Amino acid sequence: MKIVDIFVDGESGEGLYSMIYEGQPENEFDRLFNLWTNIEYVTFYCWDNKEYIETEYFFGYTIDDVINKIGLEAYELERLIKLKTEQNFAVPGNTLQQMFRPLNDKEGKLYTHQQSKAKIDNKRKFPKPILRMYAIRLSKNTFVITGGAIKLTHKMEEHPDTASEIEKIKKVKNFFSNNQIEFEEDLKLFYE
Amino acid sequence: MSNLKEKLKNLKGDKPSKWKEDADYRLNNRWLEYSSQIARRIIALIKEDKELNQAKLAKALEVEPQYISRVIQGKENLTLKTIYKLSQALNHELISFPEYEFTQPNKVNEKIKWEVKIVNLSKPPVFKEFIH
Repeated sequence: MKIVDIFVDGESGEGLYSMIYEGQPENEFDRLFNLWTNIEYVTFYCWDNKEYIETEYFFGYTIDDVINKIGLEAYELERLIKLKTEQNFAVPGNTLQQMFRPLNDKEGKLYTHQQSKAKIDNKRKFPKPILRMYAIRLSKNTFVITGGAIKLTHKMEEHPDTASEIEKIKKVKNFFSNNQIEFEEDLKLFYE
Repeated sequence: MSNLKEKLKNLKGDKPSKWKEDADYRLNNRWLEYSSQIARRIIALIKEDKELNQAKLAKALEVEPQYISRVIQGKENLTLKTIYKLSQALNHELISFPEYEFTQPNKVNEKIKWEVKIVNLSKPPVFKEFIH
């Protein structure tokens, strides 16, 4: 288990990192965008998960609609993250912390090793977004991608793919704890 | 060197991310939406016809299987000639044209007036000829 820079400030080390797991050819962040922009993968994934799409959770959506939605969301998410790399992602209004929120919606405070997620936050253009990136918050404005998924159910435990993402986040959290990567001293700055 | 940077140094892998380069390509080449639409149509046709698969399609087009794989992933910048050959091999149209008012170039009617009939349906399709 190693980490890879996605975009990182050369001075402070703040920014976005990704996990690369043992035996995997690419890091999680690269892998997710390569999959989500691969129409063959997306089409078969939706066909294979027909029973999840034809439920009340996706009321009104056909399988073709979901395939289209994944394509549009992948483009928008990639565009938004790319913008962060082109602008200063440490300035208020454009921080990574605005994109990566606590995984548990009920958690109101930010803390080190917090399980986090990123999705498109634009209810008008993208109602009910389904692409998720999962991450561990390491320090102020610093996240490590642990994985991601096409979220087809309300709760992560309800689908094997999102359920396995929970396990990955836990393993990464332990990995950082075991390597004494903790930054409690930065917590007071998290809300900036 | 900052505390954060120092602490993470020993955990770094040696294979750098290619994402920035890949993202630039995807965001700056929006024709990929067209190739994805064509790929979806091919995937659906292959799914429908039990005798059809990517390897047979590659043989029918006389191309490497890897090329068909990229086409089906929606990543290939297809020429009109290739789209034509794919349509023939699949015996189905992959693209169609709206009803243009050529005297009013900005006006495009919603309905499809005709599809380019590039496949002679009275004859056995090219792909079937190949597999028999």
